[in-house]
Amino acid sequence: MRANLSLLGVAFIATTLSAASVHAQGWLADRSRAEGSGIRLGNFELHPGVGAEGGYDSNVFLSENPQDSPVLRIAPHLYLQTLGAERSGDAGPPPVEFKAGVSGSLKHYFETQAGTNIGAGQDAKLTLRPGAIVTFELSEEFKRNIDPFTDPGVQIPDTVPDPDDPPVEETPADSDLSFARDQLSLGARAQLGTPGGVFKAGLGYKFAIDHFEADEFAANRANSHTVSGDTSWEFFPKTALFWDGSVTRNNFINSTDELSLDEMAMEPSLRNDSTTTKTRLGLNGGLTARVGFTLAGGYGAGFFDAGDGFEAVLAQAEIRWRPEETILWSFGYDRETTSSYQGNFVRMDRIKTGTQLMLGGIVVIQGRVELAFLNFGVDPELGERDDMQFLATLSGEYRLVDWFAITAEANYWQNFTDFVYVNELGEEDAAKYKRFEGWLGVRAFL
Amino acid sequence: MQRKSLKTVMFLGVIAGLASAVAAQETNEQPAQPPPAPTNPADMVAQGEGVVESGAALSTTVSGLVREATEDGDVMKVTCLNDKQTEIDGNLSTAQQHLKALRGTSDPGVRAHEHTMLMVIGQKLDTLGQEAGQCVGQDLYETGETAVDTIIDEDMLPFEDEPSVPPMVLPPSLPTLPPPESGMR
Repeated sequence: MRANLSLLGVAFIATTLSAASVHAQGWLADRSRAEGSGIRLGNFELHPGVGAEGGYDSNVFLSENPQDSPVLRIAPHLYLQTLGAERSGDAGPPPVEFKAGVSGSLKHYFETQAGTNIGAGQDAKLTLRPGAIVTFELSEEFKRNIDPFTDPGVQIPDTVPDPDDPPVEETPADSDLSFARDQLSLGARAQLGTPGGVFKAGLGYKFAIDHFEADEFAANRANSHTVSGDTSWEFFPKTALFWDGSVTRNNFINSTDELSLDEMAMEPSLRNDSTTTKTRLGLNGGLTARVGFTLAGGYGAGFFDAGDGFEAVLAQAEIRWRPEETILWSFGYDRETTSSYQGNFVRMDRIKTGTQLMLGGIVVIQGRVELAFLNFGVDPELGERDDMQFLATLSGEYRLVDWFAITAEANYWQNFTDFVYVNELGEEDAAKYKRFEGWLGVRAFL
Repeated sequence: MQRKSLKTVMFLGVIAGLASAVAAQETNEQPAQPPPAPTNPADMVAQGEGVVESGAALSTTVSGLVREATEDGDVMKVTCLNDKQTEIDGNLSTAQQHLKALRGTSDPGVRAHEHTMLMVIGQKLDTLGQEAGQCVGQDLYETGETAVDTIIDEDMLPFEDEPSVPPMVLPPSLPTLPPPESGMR
């Protein structure tokens, strides 16, 4: 049974360090870690699981004036897939590969108006003839994220207060404000490859919907169409020369240039439709048996229906070291420019490091530290903005048996910036914040 | 046992003869040339008879080797020797026809032609004798259908699973969404 754990450990270590989200629980952000040995159902295997944790959040609304709260988090998941490598052995890839999963996350804040909410995740991916010369993929993903992502702001009274009146204590803008954000994406990709996969070329399309449930965030609602292409050539010993590129058309449901002047005055910042394109060329693979690397450079450009666009050099450098089979450490740098809800776009320079460990087949530890420098485009409403973001996460679990573990997680975020939002009354709301959260719980999984 | 020994001696004799012929060829830097044609008709007939007699002896020897290989159940050797004997017998029959024509003609041009044909057939029979000798040792070098098993020491390979799928560059990790418009001017 320890052998099974080791296999899981190797699979877990093999995943990309940066795949984790800062919002999801440690294990739900990494499917290979969440899965246990599973239950075989004919040509499929099922991986159910549930976790329950108690925690503390020092700054629920990411505000300069933090509201803290104890939190309860319950997260079930259910994954279904065609037989994995451990079960199918040397049989080779099946003609059809299928993976699907559904997960939930109930959160209850005991001491803030955030109250109780339910997040959800669901995804499915169908691959026809994996490993063949022609492969076709269909994918779908849905996420409902409930974590507050900004300060709710300050309530604006209906009448302007008399300056002679005594100051009133600041109150949250809307105690029932929902931060629920629904994201749906549907994609298809065709791949042509030589036998053995030495050369591959793919062409894909993705449609995505980004929906903020609360009317207060309606300006952020958008959908996008992305056409992407990629190709790679693998050579000795395990290295690939790769290229990928994409063109994305992003449409806000209520873009700024389609609003009347009155409506525009109510918008917090720019919401301009855009077409962005990116291309990247690089090398990825192994330098030695224990050292891997990624080195890539590219070009990106964004064309917005109004406001400034961008042209940018993109870069990616990462080195990975695996001193033991179940220990991985990485260090890297990213330079990226993406669309933003403020100033049309944001340029990012990020230094990051991370580690994943499985010790003795029973202790799993993941850690990540990032320092990112953000430079936003100039927003006519909000002006200029520069941020520095620091992120440190550490999560781990101790597996008492093959299907039950004690989990722990600690996260620290801090956003350093001089930027302040100003409302109609001239009241300031600083964009800087810091947040700590800690979790302790148990989870059962198969 | 005596019969087998005799055949072996005969075969070794054939091989030795062929080896000396080959050695003679190797010492001569010029390509092998047929011996100069004699002008005397009697000498021409004598040379032709020598070719036919050598061919007959070679056929007999190879025939004995075929029987021996058949008794040993060595299918590969039998097949190889049978092929050579068929060719030897065909060339021997042709040589006999040309010898008969050589004996029966009085025309100097036809005589020279028949003699040349006999010499060429003689060289061909020499080559077939060498090839028959290779049949005897052929099983030493014939491996049949082969398969190559490659064992890769995975400890020496990089740990990267799919180098063709590089890590993605994710957007900023911390949210940067502005507050709702109700709080903004």
